[in-house]
Amino acid sequence: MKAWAWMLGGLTLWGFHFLGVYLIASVADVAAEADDPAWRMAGLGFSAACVLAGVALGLLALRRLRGAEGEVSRFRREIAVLGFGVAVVAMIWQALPTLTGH
Amino acid sequence: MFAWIATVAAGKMRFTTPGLFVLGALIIFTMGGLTGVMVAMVPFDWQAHDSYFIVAHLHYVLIGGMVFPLFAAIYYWLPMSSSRPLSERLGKWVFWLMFSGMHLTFLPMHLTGLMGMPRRVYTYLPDRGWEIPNMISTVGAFLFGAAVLLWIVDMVRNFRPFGKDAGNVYGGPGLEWLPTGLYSVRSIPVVKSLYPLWDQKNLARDVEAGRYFLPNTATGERETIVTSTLNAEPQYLQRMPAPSGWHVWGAVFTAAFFLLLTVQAYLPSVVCGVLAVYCLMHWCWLLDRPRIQPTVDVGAGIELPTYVSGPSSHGWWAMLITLIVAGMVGALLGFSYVFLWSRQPESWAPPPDLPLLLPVVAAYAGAGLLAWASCWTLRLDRPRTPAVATLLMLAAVGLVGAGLAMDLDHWLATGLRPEVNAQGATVYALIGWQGFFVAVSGLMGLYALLRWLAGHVEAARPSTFDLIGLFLGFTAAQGAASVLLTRLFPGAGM
Repeated sequence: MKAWAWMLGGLTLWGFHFLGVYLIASVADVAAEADDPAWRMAGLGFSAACVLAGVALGLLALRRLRGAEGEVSRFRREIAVLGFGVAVVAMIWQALPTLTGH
Repeated sequence: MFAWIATVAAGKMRFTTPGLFVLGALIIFTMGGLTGVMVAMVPFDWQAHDSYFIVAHLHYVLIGGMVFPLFAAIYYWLPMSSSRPLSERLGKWVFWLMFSGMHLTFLPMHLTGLMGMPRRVYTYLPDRGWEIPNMISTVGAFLFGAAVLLWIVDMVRNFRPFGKDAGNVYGGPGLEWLPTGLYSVRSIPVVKSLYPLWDQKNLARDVEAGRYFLPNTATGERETIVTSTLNAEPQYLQRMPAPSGWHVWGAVFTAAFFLLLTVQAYLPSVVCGVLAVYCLMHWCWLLDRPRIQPTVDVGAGIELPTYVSGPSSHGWWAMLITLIVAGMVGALLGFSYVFLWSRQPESWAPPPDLPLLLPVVAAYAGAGLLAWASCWTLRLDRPRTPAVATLLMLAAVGLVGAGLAMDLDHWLATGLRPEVNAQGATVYALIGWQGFFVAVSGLMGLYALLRWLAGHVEAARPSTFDLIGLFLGFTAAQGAASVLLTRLFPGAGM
């Protein structure tokens, strides 16, 4: 269970980030304007927090990879690192519209 | 695409007929994908939509992505069921005629489309410049037809589905080329590479000699092994269904149900639907069979259980993943409701009175609780446990039905109708989606009752009730969620 949580952690974080970014922009659209500066800052703050979490967990996964023993354990931890790496790139990409203001 | 290109680049390509079809597929599919990206841009599609540009695009995608791989598969795997392989010489003619015919037909259509020719016309005025490209397309189409004709000739000359099959003509590495009979392979091998027949030289001989798992059936029936996800370690013995026609008839009647609907033959369609459900239930009946010895020796001294339930069982995960997907659809419907409200909040009518919400939520909550209680009761293994568990499950089914009926009744009483506005559409869409789940729950309740009447409900075999319990629990949760959403958001105070 723990192994699967690590392997899927990056994707889960990415999914959580996507939902959050979309939710914040949608609420902003109803409460004020979608590109209202305060709401944009909230969205960017959320994205920054998720990216930081991704980087931190990715580094932790990398440290766990170094301590891997056995083929299967090594494979699992490689997947975990890859997942967080992909997630960080994806979350930065998804934050760009909020950053550029569109 | 990149994975396929890497496979070709990292290996040693052999330009046999299947190899040619695969390479052709990659080229044509990529071209179709490029035009696809073009039409994905709205300004471009504004011009290209419903023109022959789209016809060109879709045929590149379909012929590259489906037809060419299909022919590659036919040439590659036909020797598995024919005593003679198809001709390599004719096959190459088929490929080149098909490849050139395909490009000759569909490449000019990009131009005709951009020159303004719409789709689905049987005639057009002269002097638009479409005549010459269309003539080229026609010539190409006949070339393609000649290729298919040649393939039919090849099939007639060489396809012989009797006698010993021609075997691994192309020297493929996959396990499908192990010696088989009516029973698939004699023993289930342990493989140590992606290309077993190349890297493990004696594999075919050892499998046939019974040197791996389950060389002679452990239970006297059809069986296989279920292994773990990452490292393929044996987990339990899977008893396979005995030969029957129920699933085939189930498929026939399901297809008939949908096809008869398309010609508006409603009564025959319903009859076929009922028969389909009957066949599928009969098929399911054969899946959860009476217990035999608790463990068996599958080979190498490894003892495996013959029955698992709960998260160890793949059937449980199949139901869970199905429900996750269903939940996603439900969530999308809920999202639509919220989104459409945000576009026009002033058009939203008040929901049914708040006190009416309580019995509906109580019904759903009760259903979920009873479903869980049913599964828990079954495991108690006392003399009247099967009867009590079945009763609890039926009560749960009744409660989800009651919840839905109440919800529908309350909304109808407000005067809201699905065709009136966005609120009506989304509220009744949620109710309709829930209705589908309640109907399936009803069928599952009937199935549980029939199982109990036949004496198949027992603590030693909880899988059927576990899966029904999961489904009912989901239905109850989905119902409660949709009721709370539509009645509390945005609520009556607007």
